[in-house]
Amino acid sequence: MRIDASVPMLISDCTNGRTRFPLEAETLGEALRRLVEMYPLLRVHLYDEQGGVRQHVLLYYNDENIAWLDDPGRIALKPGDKLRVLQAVSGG
Amino acid sequence: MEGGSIGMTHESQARYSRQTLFAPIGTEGQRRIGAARVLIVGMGALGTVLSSHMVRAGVGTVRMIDRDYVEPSNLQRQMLYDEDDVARTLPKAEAAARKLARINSGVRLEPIVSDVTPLNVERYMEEIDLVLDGTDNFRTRLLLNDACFKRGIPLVYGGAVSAQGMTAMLIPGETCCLRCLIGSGDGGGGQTCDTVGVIAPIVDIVASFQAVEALKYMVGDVEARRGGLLSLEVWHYQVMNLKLPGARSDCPTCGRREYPALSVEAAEASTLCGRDTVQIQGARPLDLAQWELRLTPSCVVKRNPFLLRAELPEGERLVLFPDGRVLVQGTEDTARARSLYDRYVGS
Repeated sequence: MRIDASVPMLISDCTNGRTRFPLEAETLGEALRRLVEMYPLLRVHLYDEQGGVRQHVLLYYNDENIAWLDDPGRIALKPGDKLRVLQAVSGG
Repeated sequence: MEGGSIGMTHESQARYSRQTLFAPIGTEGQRRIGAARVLIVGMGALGTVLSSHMVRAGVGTVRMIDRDYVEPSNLQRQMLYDEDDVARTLPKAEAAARKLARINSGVRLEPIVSDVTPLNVERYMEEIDLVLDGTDNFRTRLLLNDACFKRGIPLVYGGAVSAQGMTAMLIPGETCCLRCLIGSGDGGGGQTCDTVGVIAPIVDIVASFQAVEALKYMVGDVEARRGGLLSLEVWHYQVMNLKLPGARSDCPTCGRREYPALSVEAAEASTLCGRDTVQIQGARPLDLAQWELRLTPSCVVKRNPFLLRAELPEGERLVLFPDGRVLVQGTEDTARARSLYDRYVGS
C-alpha cells in the first residue's frame, strides 16, 4: 500500500531534502518502521534512547495523533493515507 | 465578559464600521469585543501582531507582558517597533503600548515589563477573559497552560520558527491542554528563532489565525470555531488541521488537575533560549538612578526610565530592571552569570 509521508523542513536534511515522499507499508506499525529504515538519520529526531517518541515530536496518522490511538501498530493502511511527522513549534 | 469601556458612540460606529458590517460580528459582537479583557504574554513577533489586531478590533482591555527590550534583530519581524525604539533601548511592552495608544486611544492598555513566573502568573490573569500566547519558549507556555487550565481561561497557543507554525485554541473543560501535545519537557530540540531563523510572514500568519479564533471566542460564535491543531509550513506550502481531543485523564494538568508548572519554585537563574543571556531574578527592587552612580566608575552605563545597561570590563553586559531582574548578556554559563551578578549587583 502506498501512502504519503511528510516531515518538517527543519529535519529534511535527514530525508535528502524531501519534505513529502511516498512510503510502502500495509500497517501503520510497518510504515513507522519503514520510515526510519529508509531514512535512518530521522531516528534520533523522532525517538529517544528508550524508543519512545521524543517530547515535542508529534506523529499523526491522517488527522489523528498516533499517541492517542488504541493499538496503532495494527491499523491497516488505505491508499492515500498520510503519515505526518510534526514538531511542536516554540518560537515566537 | 462584562462591562466594557467602548460604547458604540458615533465615533466608534465609524471606526468599527467595516467590522460590524461583517455579519458574524455585527454591533452586538462589537459590544462584546469592547467588553473583553485579553492578556498577551510575549511582545515579540507574535505579540506585536496579536496586540495590533486586538487593539484595532477594539478589545476593551489589552494587558501585555514582556521582559525584554527592543534590539536590532527584532526589527525584521516585530511589527510595532522601529529604530528609535532600539536607540532608546525601550522595553517591548512599553514601546508597543506607545504605538498602540496612537492606533486606538479607546482601548485600555496595560503594559507590564516583567518576567512571567510561577509566583506572578496567576496575578497577571486576574480579570482576564482570554490569554494569547506570544511567547518564545515552552517553559513559559507550560506555565500559561497550567495557570489557564487552573483558572478556566482559554489559551490560544501559537508558535512559529523557520517557515513553519502551529496554533490551537485550548479550552479548559472542552479540549486537551498544551501539555498533552508537547509533554512536560523544556526546550524545543534546539530549534528556536535564534538558531534556525524565522521569516516574518509565518509569524504574521500564525498570530492572525490566533486573532481570528480570539475574535470568535469574544463574540461567542461557538459554531465557527476552527478547532484542532493547525500546522502550517509556508515555504513548501503544507497546511493541516489535526484533531485535538478532550481532556486526557493521564495528563497532570487537564486530567489530574495538579498544574505542575505552578507548584515548582521560581528558578533563581534561567538561560534564555539561544540568546547568550542568563536572567537572574533578584529579591529586591533596583533603584536605577542609584545603580547608575554605583556602576559608572567601573562600567559604561546607559540608563532610561525602564532599564539600565552596563558594559562590564570583562566583556559581558548587565541589564538591570526596576523589578529586581538582571540580564547577564554574553554568556550562557549560569555560574559565570551568577559570579558577575554577585560581583556587580550582589545577592
